[in-house]
Amino acid sequence: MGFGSLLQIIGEGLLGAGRQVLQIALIVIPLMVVMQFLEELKVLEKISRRLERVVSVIGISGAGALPLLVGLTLGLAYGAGMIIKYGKEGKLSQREMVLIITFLSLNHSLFEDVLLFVAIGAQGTVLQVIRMVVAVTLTAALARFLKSFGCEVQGST
Amino acid sequence: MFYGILGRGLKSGLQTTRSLALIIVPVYLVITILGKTPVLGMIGRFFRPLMEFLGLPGEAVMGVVLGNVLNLYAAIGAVTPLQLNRKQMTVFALFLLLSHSLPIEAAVSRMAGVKAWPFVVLRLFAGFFFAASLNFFWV
Repeated sequence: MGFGSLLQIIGEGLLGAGRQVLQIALIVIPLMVVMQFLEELKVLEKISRRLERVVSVIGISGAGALPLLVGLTLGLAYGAGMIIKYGKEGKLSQREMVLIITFLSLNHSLFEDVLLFVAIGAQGTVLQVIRMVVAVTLTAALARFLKSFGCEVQGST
Repeated sequence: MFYGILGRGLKSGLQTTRSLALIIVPVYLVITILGKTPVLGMIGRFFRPLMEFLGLPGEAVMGVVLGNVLNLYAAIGAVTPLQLNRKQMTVFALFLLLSHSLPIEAAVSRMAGVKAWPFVVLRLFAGFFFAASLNFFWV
């Protein structure tokens, strides 16, 4: 491979990469602005109060709704930070923490992660629906499992 | 207040763009160069049997590995030079959405006082299984 053609390949790569970054920036920057508003205007707190009944499906009490919603929208690290805080304050049991982390590890940063792939040509709705169904199903199954397992332990003592 | 939030949002958007550019650009460049040499083809042929379950070319294994070890930006940098079609890109995305950035995210789980390795296993398994299923059922 000659030096000239190597330069040409690098140029081609830089151009492609630049186009890619630009495509993603057009999605990420407005998204981050929206996220900032959600966070600072405490929109998530307000929504989470209405979701307390919904989260019981995956075995989590009302207190878990906010960390769940924060992880789903803002990202896993934010959700986990909140879980740690709630755990220390005694608002969440160890079992609930495991369930929330299970759910969030499979399904977080809803908008950001999915849109990254939409920007490069994936089908976003299919992705998010499947991801949500997988996370809810696996977490609900684990909740049932932990419940029956927990009962057994209690019964044997 | 409005402009304050707007400004902080723009700032965080630009920071994210910067950090993703720092990863996407070098990975994209390396994959493009490798694509002109026999190396990428060799890697691709080696992993073809495994990637066939996902309906993806063998070379896409680079995206799967980089995404799981590093992050989604690296996965994107590695897979866009391959020019996948819509179905392939969606299958690839589903795998990576369920399972990515494992070292970092496992550390986050551990911070929350939960053992990390079951999540790593769960995510890799779920990623491969559901991506293969999507490939199988997508008509």
